[in-house]
Amino acid sequence: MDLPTWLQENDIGMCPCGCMGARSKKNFVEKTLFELARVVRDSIFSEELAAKQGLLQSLDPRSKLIGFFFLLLAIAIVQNPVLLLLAYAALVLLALLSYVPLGLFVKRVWLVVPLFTGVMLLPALFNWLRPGDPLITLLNFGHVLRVGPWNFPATLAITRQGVKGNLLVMLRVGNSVSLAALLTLTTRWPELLKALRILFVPKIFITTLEMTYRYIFVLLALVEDMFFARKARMLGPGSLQENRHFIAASMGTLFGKSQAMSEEVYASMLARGYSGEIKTMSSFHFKLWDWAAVLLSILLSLLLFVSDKALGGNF
Amino acid sequence: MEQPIFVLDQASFGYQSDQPLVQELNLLIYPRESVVILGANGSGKSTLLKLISGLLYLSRGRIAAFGTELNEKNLQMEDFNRAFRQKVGFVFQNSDAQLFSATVWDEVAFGPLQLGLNPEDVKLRVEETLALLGIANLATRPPYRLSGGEKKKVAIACVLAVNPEVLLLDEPTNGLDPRTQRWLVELLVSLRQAGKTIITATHDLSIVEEIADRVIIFNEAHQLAADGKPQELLLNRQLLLDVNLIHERSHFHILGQTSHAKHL
Repeated sequence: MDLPTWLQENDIGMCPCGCMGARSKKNFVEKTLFELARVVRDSIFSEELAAKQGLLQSLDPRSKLIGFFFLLLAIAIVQNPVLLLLAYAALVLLALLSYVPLGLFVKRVWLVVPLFTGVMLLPALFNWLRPGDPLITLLNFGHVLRVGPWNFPATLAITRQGVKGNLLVMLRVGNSVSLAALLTLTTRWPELLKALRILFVPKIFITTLEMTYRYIFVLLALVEDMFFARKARMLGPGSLQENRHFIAASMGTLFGKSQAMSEEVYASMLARGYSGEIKTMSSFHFKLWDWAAVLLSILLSLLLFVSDKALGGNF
Repeated sequence: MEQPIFVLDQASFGYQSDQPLVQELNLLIYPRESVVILGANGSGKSTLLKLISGLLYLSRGRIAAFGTELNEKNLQMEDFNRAFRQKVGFVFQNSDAQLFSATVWDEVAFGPLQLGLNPEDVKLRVEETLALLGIANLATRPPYRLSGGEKKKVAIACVLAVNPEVLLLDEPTNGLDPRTQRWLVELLVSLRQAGKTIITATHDLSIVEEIADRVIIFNEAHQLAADGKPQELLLNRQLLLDVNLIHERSHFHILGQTSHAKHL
């Protein structure tokens, strides 16, 4: 084979002056690669956590699902913040017994809840939206404010009722999200999906979800390859337009590939006897311990409910 | 004489009529034969396998399997479909397309379940198949955490789990390390001794003489170029050159001989 002359030119070694140039900023290619690796790392981490021999891991996913469902209901009804705090303490204990790292468990919930729920609840703190006994007065206008058709009280204050209400909602949301986090962290994803059968979710939805989850990783690997190839050939940060073209091209490629893949997957399902109705089988075993856990969680939910009625929502 | 399993009569296939992927093919495949389909990239090997397995339907001509015409209408018949899918197993070239379940265990159980085995039998079947292929330790793993060789083993396990009469393999040694290739060749030899019909599409000449008792060669015009014993065809250097399967300077070992390039 005759190679063109430019391919025959050799220059071993880096730039002769030995200069390294200025450090270039991390661009989107590197960031995307980093994020892709993180998704895979996180999923492997959850997979390992779910495989540990902890308290919640030892339960059948279905019993966890039923038990958590009742607890979730109880938490949504309870008015007494002290009971909610006690419930949270119990969840932390459960997490510890299931080898869920405490830092992760607390962070996952409490970094997110104030951000989303807190922001949503913010207006309800003030007396202009929800009248109540002022706790801290922020502004005093001395007279009723008229803005168009609206009349606002003379003072803007944070009310006691507002603080109480917000605190209650935050505690409820925090508890509920913690429950969900415990469930997903201690159950393998495919098993959790299968357990949804018990809540009468149709088989075809579950199978589709399972396959979706499965192919996320195939497509992730594909994206990773494309971005690595791009990184290997990049001589500089590249212009914005170039980068836009690359993103558009990779979206197109990914779309085409996923369509081709879906055809092939369907062919391989057909080849193995799929004929329109999917047949599945779960290898779950409801042990005595599972019945006990379901019973226990129902009793706990009732206890929460009854003691809430007895104590009332005051604090 | 024994009835052939597959009969292809003037079989043609193409997505567009002016670009056939299989052209006027006449072929008989008998029970317990081990056939290797050779051909350059894009010569129609994979397409032929998909036609034989009833995944694609002919544009012209006729194809019959087990004495029944293989067309869309017949494959929609529940009983025929079930029987045919049980008898014909297909190992795809891309293992990722074949492994669509959440875990290895579910994957191997898929075929037996669709064919209506009861749960106890499915369980036993899956466990035995995993043990046979030495992958019992992978049972709870998701497919994305398997190596290429492991994926191929799982893909083969899924197909073997329904005990097919006919095994179709599309480029099975692609991307496998030499040790796994060796393992695969030995598995195919045992399956052949057990009386299975095996049809393998490949361009890996090094495995042909061990796994084949019949070789079919396609040329780049998507036609049958030769059909015969591996010993005769693989030593016919000119034939392999004509169908663009080897290069003038390729050399490979066969039947204890080395097929070398002519001195230039």
